[in-house]
Amino acid sequence: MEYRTPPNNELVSGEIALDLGMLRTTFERSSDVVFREFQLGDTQAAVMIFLDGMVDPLIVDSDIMQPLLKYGEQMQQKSGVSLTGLESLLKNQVITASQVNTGGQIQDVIDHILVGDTVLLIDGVNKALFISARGWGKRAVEEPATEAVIRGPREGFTEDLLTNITLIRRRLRTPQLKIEGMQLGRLSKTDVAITYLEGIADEAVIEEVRKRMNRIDIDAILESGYVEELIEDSPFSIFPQINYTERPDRIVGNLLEGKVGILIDNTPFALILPVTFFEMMQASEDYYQRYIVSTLIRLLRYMFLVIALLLPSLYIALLTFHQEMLPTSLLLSAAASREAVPFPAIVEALLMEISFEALREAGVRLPRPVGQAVSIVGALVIGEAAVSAGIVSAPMVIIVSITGIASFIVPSYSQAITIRLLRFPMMIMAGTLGLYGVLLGVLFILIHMSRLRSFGVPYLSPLAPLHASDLKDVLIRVPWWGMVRRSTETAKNNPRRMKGTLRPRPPKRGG
Amino acid sequence: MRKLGILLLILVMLPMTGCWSRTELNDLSIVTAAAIDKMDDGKYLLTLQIAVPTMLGPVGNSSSSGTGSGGEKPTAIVSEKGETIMDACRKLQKKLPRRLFFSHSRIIVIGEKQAREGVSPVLDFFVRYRESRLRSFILFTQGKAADILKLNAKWEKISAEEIREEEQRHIGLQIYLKDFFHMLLADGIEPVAAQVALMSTEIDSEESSSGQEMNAAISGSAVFRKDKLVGWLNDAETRGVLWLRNELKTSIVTVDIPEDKGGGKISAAAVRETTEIKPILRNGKLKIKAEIFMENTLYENNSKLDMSDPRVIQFVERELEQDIKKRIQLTLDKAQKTFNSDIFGFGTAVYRTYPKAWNRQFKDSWDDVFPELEVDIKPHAKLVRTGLTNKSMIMVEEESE
Repeated sequence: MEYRTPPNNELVSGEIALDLGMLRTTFERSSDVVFREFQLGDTQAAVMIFLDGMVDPLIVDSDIMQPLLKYGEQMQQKSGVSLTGLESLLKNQVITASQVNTGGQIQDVIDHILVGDTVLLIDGVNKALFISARGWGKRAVEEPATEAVIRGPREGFTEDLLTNITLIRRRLRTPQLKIEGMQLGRLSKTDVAITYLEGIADEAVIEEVRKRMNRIDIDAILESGYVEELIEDSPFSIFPQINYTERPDRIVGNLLEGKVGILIDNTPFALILPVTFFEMMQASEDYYQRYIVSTLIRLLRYMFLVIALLLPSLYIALLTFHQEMLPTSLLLSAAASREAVPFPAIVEALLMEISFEALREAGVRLPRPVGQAVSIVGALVIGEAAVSAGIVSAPMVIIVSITGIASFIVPSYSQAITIRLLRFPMMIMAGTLGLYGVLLGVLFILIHMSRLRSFGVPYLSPLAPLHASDLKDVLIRVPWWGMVRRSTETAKNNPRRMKGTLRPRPPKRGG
Repeated sequence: MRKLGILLLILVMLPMTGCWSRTELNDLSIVTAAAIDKMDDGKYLLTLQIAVPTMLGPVGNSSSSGTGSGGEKPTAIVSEKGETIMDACRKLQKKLPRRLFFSHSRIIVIGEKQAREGVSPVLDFFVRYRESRLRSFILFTQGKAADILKLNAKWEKISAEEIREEEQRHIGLQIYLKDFFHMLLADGIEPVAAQVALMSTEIDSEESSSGQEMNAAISGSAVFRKDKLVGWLNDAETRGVLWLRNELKTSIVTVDIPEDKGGGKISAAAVRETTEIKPILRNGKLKIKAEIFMENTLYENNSKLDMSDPRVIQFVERELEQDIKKRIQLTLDKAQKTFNSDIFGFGTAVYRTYPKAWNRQFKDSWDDVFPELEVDIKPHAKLVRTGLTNKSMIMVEEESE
């Protein structure tokens, strides 16, 4: 069987019984389709078709039904209803809903019903009226759960595309903001919007995005992850090459850097591309806090990124290969704590790290009331009992907990989980080859990263290749008055962000 | 596909190495100190202090109760004799369940008998063996070196650590293995190293002196000619060595004030000290000028001198200089006349200033030149701080009467 129904090429006949029959067969066994038959005046049969739950009954009532019935009455009193041009008359003079279109194809009718429009068919008129009276249960705009901030807007994207577009538009009141709509998914017909700032974003990148998006031909798009995997540059890489966010301010900040955003209906997560490794280490709050604080926090993040990746492997390497590199007293206390442990350091570390990952995953999946109990038991078992039972050593528990905390300091969750996963091969390298293995692993990762591209932008830019002026926003965050230029890779067309440097100074004396 | 295959091959290769040279911490005997003695039969006696990790657990755990019961020491002493050090090691290893691990042996103690016969044969092991560190302290002791290791630790967990900490207090000579080799191999300088001795922590308590309250003290130094021990210097003489080698960090000088000035004593601590050794070659006659610059802080004054008077300060400075000069002269005489060992590196200084003359004239005859060398000691003392008060307590009391 074909993975979708073939398009219906027939035209609206104008004979209401025929059209209605066809539609009824199309929507048979679909209990949410409502066929509301009524009469315009005394004779003219008409039918309104919509999906229950996807239209706003108030609008249907006040802006469609009431005017129509009133008009029917008036016509009846005058001269009866003339059929020619009735659809445009209704559209232009009767129906008070704001968006009304007409169309002549049965397929159009079906499509409009499915997206939530109200379709009006009148006997004797071979055109259908598509009246937009959409309205369904939406989640309110709430604080984004995955990207909470202390200072900054608390609005997050919702599952509704239009709301999301509004959230962006409210921040960029310029016609330069382009939102190109398209539909993806043969069955899901998901609305997708490519958004960018014309004149800042690179045309070539936008064209490439369009090309890759148009290539997608799939039954359904349920989340932005589908799109991400279908358009990324290196599908086999462990590193995420497209960033995602549920913060409108973040996506707007990126648009201003010349990036392209992709909004997808039914998910609060929007995609940002192209993206570099270092951008994934930045949180939106970096730009709202005082710059000195932001810089220090950024440095802290990079420090803990290294810890998250390397600490367990360094510990293993030092303990099993390079005992001479530890200070004597540290080695002695490590030896004392490891004395009762029956496993080699690598097994001990893997054991602990895997249980930590399991705990973390369980914490996400478990129902909230149970979650707390399980995490307490987990923490007790791992932290206390395992040590006193002599299965793991106390320093290993410390290492694992520091590493666990460290990996959550990376703002991008997909980046964080990549680092967490890479920790395991690194640990095996350390357990087999010592520091030499750790170094080999790091080199391997670096070589891979420098090969990666995200829509033509090198993954490690602006460090490799080096763009000196972009370093202002990598390891440090310069004050806003110093961010005169946009990022070189994505906004070469329009690099200037502000007029000169805007550093505040005290007024000149006597001036 | 090909790439994937290559990647797979690389991944398969990793475990093939079989964790080469991997040693778990639980399989190591961590040597914390080594002692070498010469046996009467000509063999070497190697004594090692090995940490026992189970006894080293955190305080408050089972280990604290263990030390209370006695007998459970945090270190084990093992010894074995052998034709060479490595031979002794091999034999020792047979008696131990874990591999000997020398990288954390920070103390090497050598007994007098071995030192008198020459240390080069035993030290070769410590230069050559890849686990040993050149940054271990080398120490000498009168009597048997093994006895030093048997000491019970009081402050640290391991007595070797105590000795190392003591070395780092900068009281005595701080000679690492590498410094010792340098002095041994370089022209114009002879080796000198710190002496370690067991001393009672208290004095004057006659009954308890036989008890266990012994502690290792860095006191005095061992003087060598080539690699053979020629004699010992006591504490005071060692200060002179430190002064001339420009290794002194702090020093306390106590001077007696003559009776006509009121008598009493003044103690001053040097806060900054530098020594410059300048060889002067004039008309074929070699002379060494040693200039000592020091800044002192007055710490104790029980004389009748009033420190608010600049002339008094100058007087004290002169007295300090006299004292230092006297003490250095003492050391110098001993090195020149008794031992004939250039432990100060005067020869090296000559070589640096007059390389040609050194090679031509002094290099081969340095042993004859050194004892007769004229050394001009010029101390320059400055008293920069007199503390929180000027006059001493005695004076204030007398004035108020």
